[in-house]
Amino acid sequence: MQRYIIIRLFHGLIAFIGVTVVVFSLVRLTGNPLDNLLGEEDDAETAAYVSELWGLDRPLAEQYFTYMGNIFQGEFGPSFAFDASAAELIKKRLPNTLLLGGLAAAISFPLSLMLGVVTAVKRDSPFDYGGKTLAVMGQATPDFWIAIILIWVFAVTLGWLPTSGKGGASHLVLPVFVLALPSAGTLRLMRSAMMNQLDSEYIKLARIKGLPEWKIIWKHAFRNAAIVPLTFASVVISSLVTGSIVVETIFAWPGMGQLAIQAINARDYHVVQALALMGSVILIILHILTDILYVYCDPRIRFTKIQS
Amino acid sequence: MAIDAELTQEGIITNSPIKKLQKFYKGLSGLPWIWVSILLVVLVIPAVFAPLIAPHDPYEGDISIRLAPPVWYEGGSWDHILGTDRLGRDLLSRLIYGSRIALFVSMTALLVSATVGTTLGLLSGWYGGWVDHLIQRLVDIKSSIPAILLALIFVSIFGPSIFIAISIIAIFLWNRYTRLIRAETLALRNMDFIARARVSGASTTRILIKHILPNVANTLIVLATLEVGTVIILESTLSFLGVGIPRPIPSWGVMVSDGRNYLAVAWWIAILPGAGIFFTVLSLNLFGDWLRDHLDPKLRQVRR
Repeated sequence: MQRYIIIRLFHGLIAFIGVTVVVFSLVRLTGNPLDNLLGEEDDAETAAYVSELWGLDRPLAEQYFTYMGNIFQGEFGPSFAFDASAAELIKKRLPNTLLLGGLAAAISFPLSLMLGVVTAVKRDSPFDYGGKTLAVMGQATPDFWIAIILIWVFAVTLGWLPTSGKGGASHLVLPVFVLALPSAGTLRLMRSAMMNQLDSEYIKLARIKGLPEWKIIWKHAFRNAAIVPLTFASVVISSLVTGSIVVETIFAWPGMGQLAIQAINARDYHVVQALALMGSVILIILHILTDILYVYCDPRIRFTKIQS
Repeated sequence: MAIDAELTQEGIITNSPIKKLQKFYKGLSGLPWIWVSILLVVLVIPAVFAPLIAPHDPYEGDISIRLAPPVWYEGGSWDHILGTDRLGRDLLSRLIYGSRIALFVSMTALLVSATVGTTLGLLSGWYGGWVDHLIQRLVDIKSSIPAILLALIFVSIFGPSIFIAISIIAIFLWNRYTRLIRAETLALRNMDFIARARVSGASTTRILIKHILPNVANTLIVLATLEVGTVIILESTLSFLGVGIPRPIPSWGVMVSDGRNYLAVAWWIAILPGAGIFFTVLSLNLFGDWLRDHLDPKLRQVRR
């Protein structure tokens, strides 16, 4: 177990270094960064001064280590478009994104687990088929299109909800709903995991023993089945990261996703880099956590020797 | 079907032409015709014959008839069946040309990602050891960068273009092929026919291409079919955000984005291109499911 955690952390570290190398070289290998900093009229002397000031005359490897040092101090460089540093901008926007994503996860995850159980128990009922149809349709629907349809119906036509922006609770309804939709995939996963458990021998034994049905479902089958969607959690959360960019753009929600698109339109690549690195770090940590949690929750893996 | 002889309930081998025909028909009737025909109508036929079908030029607009309604509304005309957008461009023509973009981008991106992913998967499964480790770490790094954020970095450096969009999608999708093909190669590697090929002096390249690749072809075809939908959604999402296909190229994602601000006066501009994406991806996914059940039942767990 400990060995596994150490190996997993080590792999996470390699992935992190890999990501920074990718981001760093993408920015550096596309021509001289001096071109971005200098204007047409600047002469060679200014160029030399600027390149020394920014450390651009150093070897690439040294530049990379300086870059890494800055990252660990939370210094991503100034924003060109906004009057603040990239780190400050992110700090200001982060709570908004967390609010939206947190609400979406808090609502959708338990709900889809429950519905997964119900559709597995009531298999082949109209309820089950309804769930299946919705899942198939949901997979084919782009988030941004659903968001726009919802705005069109509930905000523009019916006028029940605001179209966009940040404000009271009514501003949260549509964005949270759209953000929560992709994680409905957990429902199907939970259903098949639950069905596997319900078909197994120990459930039969529990039934013969005369346990009440709710106890069999929630106390025995559910606990074992819930491991499967757990691995899916990292996929769900990475879809939240992606989804928040789309949702925040459409609903003009002042979070990091909207910041990312604004930064792109302004070619503000310090901010873009900072956001990409942050998103990656979040994903790496989540992958490690879910892997470890998975091993921890499944005694069959926990007590046998784990190979990397 | 290679084995033609079939035992009926009575135990008589039936291989007559009539039975064959019946079987063929049965096989066809299992095919979800509806999905294939939707695909043809929405994606393939418009994409191939765009210049012949499209009533107008998708780039040329007449600003005096901007935001014209579709034909079934008052004020709509048969000249612009689905109305016009904010620049007075014919929506139907743009939708038709949009399917061309969707088909082209998804096919190219798919080809690139499948080739790269399969090659890495074959190498990873065949050699094992440090090659495998290296490739697995590459997969780790790839899955640590959120696709859209990677797209943002690319676009902030190179600016949006079709080529960049295809590259981003290809980079985003190769690892699924690697994972599956690696597992299949691992299973095949120690089989007798591979050992025999080796004994008879076949080179590694020959074994990989002539012996392993044909055995993973079904998996590959099924996975690729199931991925087309993902590719189209990803492409349209990137385009919608302005980091995919650049304007004025008529991509469905761009068109939805264009129509966003006109929901109150002209809902069709934003909603109809999205419907194109929806029906295309829906029928692709269902067709892929069918293909998977018939070609490669092993993959049943693959879909998220």
